[in-house]
Amino acid sequence: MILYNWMEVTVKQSTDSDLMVLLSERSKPALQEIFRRYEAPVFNFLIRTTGRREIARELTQETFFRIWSAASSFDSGRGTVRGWIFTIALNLARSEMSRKEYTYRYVDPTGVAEADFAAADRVVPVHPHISLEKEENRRRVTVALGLLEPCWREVIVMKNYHALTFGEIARVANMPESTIKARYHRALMKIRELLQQQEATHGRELSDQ
Amino acid sequence: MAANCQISKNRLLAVHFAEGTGEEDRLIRAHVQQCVECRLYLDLIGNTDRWLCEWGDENPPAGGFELLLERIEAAEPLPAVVKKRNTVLPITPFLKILTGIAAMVGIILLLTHRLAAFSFWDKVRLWWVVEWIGPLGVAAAVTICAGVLITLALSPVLLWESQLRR
Repeated sequence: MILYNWMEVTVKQSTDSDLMVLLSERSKPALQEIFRRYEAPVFNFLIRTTGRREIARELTQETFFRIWSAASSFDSGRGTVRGWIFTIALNLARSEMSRKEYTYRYVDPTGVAEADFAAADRVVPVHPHISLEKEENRRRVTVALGLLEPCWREVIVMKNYHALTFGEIARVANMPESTIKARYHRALMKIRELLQQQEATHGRELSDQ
Repeated sequence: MAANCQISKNRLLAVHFAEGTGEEDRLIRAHVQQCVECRLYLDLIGNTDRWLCEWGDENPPAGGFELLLERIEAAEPLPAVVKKRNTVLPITPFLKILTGIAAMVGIILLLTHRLAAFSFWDKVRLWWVVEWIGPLGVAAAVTICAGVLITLALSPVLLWESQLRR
């Protein structure tokens, strides 16, 4: 028991690289710690990239299974653990999205909104109109991201939601940093255009009412 | 935006996300003070940041790690089944060997008593070797020789059978 607690404390204090060493020796406490640290980022990354919660859940499992299976192949000299994990998740998302039956370009806004509505039922908002406005904003973000080219969306998601540096994104996506920055710039322009379109539509709807 | 601002877009991104060097940062900020277009571009990045934040993080479904462990355990090869070693020696092989020895002794004894019935016995019983080993020795020699000959004759069949068992 004492030994187990000691191991748990040690694992929790370990750096990602140390955990990878332990993982390559088939340590399940190390896997649990890596899972604890990266489950939410990977899950959210996959939701925003694929737009499907169910698929994101499956791919999160697959990502950690691959981390477990390929831990010994991780080379700290070639990048960070975080970057390596995102590379696995991105490759899985890309291969999932390249399947023929997949509706490639659209994030499912209703699927994403369901969770929020459920949460809204549990928490009584002080100002209902604020909650509704937030919900509407969120829906618009979801739709706009879904309308982006997948290669642009990946960059935006990694940069804005997961704070990866452009260098890290370049390594994850296996592309030159300048290409990543160019894609980020194009994605920004497209988002601005989509926002303007949405604002115009929203304005028309309000005036019709 | 001045002519060189096309180049500074990447630098503007670096400055916004704090990925540039200190000196570069200072130069770009000085430039931005004078360039309306660059200021607008930085505003665009900032506004997009804020706007994208509307889609907050979601909690992953519970029980993910348990599912992962189940999958890992299902994928791992099962440990090789170790045969339990017998602590008591099995008796069957000994019984087989004893039966074989008893049968051979029986044949030898039977042959010893029946040697006189064979026509060749009168001719060979006066040989010094036969006198030395006696009827029992002759019977034993005959039995062993017959056994060796039979085994040699059957060896192709025995070999074939052992190949089949592999």
